[in-house]
Amino acid sequence: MHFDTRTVFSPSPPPREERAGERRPMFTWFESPRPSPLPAWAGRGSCFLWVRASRCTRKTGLVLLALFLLRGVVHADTNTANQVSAISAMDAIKLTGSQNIEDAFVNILNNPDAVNALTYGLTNTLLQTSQSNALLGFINDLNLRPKVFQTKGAADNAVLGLEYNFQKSLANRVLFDTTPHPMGISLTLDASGDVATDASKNPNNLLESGGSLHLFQGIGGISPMVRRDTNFFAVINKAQHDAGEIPPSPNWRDDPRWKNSAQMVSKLIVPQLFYDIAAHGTLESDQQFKNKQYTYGCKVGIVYRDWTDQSAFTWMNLLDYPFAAIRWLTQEDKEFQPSGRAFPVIVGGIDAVDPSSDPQRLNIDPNKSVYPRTRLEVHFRTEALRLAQQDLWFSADFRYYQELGASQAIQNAGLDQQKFFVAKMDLPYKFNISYSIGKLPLDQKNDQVFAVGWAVNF
Amino acid sequence: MPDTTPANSTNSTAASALAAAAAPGPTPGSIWSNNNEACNKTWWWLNFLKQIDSAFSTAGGIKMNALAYWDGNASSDEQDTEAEGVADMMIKGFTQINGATYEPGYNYSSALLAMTKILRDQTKIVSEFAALNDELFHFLNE
Repeated sequence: MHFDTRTVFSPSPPPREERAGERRPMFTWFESPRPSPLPAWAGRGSCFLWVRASRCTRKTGLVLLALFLLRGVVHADTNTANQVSAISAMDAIKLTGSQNIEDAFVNILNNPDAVNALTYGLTNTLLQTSQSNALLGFINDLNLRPKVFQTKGAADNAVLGLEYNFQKSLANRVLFDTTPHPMGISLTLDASGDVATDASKNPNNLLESGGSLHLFQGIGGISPMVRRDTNFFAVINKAQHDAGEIPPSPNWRDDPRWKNSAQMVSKLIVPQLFYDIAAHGTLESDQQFKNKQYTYGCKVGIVYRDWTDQSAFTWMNLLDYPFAAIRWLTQEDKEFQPSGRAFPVIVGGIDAVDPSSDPQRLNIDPNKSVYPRTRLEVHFRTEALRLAQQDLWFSADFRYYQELGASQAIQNAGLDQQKFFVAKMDLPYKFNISYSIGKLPLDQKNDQVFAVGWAVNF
Repeated sequence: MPDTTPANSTNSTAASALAAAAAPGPTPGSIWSNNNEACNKTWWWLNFLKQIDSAFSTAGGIKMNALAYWDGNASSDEQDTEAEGVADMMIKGFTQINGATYEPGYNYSSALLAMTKILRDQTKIVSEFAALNDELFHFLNE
């Protein structure tokens, strides 16, 4: 076996003339500085040592590593079943000695005993220590899957690769946790992609890395004046438990046990305002970071609910007045009362949009750069009436999209702005009737559509 | 006062609850019994919030896409916001009215995210949602 070594400079910062339009890959070749006062492997801080082993070396190393792990499993594990599978896996790996490295790897992967023994060894003998540490905790959510990419063409065209998927919640914090209105903050990182030993033969040459920040809070919901003690909890818990004993029937809510528990809790309910702010950013690139694209998005969602049947706040829900009238006339409700559960949900946001999959747009403006687009969505849903022992709902959804900084050609073609509206009314026996007008961003034409549909939940 | 739960333990236990709850098929160990506090409270609050309309014995198999907030015409962002509102209300009901406390390693943030994930999964049923709540909260009389 032999080793090739060359000295490389740290990739940061690159010379100015090399930055234009291209990001340097993490590993590359550079001429050694003259003179070289120290050997490359001495570790000069900003110098990296690149070691390239021959094919024979890699195969041998792979087999030795596998045998080492299996040996650890056999001797350390007291589980007889694991020992038996580990021994059979060792035999399978030894037989791969005469094959090329790709076939050897595939044979190992195709042997369930070998894969199980390897992963067991990694997780229980090599990585597990008496003390967990931050690094292991950080990489715990990293999922790796070896791959072999086989392309058509020459006989020797298989390359090794690795599929990775990483999702890590860095923080799930709570602010104001002792108050009735806690605020949650969540920060996550995620990365996924396929990498191959030869990038040119990687059929899925796309890496995605990004993060998201999530902030949410529910204001109200439960009265802050709720008296909380053991007796208070016991009384309510008992009432709710008794309600659970009600046998099923169409009018089960008329049972005194349910009414009693609901009345006890209704006195403690106040309107709820919940908001959710989320932002994300993603870097999409190929394996060598020659081509890359940044995407981003931010959204704010707001929902207001009054969960009680009757309160002064429900009269503010003007959209529900027609349906409150229907419920009153059909005697579903004893009184004319708009629903506090049917206030519209509002979502607004801004996103970076990739136009490469929109041929209509590209015909007008061939610019494939990502562009920013704002959006506003309003959704309304309420119970219209009850018929044949089924609750029939009415829902309406309105969406508005506006591109920021659109070119004159896009504006002239009317592609910088889209509106879409759909309304649906449920009918008995899972049927529904709907009406839609407008277009969503990827639609090709305006539509006015009446439709009758049927829905089944699987 | 900010929550001081170590991020790693909070995230790992939340992740394990999510993984178990998000796994295909019925959540291992999920039961449906009125004597189980998590089942009873989950059923009760879903009915009080009028997300379902069913007596306890017939509620366990109701799918998440049959809840009142679920609407195929709405965008996923709108549905997520609605589901979070329902989850927020249920968390407050559990903790401030039923006297439940968070199991070690969980807090408001991880609980809301985990509950929302289940609520937005149309393959899950109410009994599995209750199993998740059993994982997240320590109810009185358990």
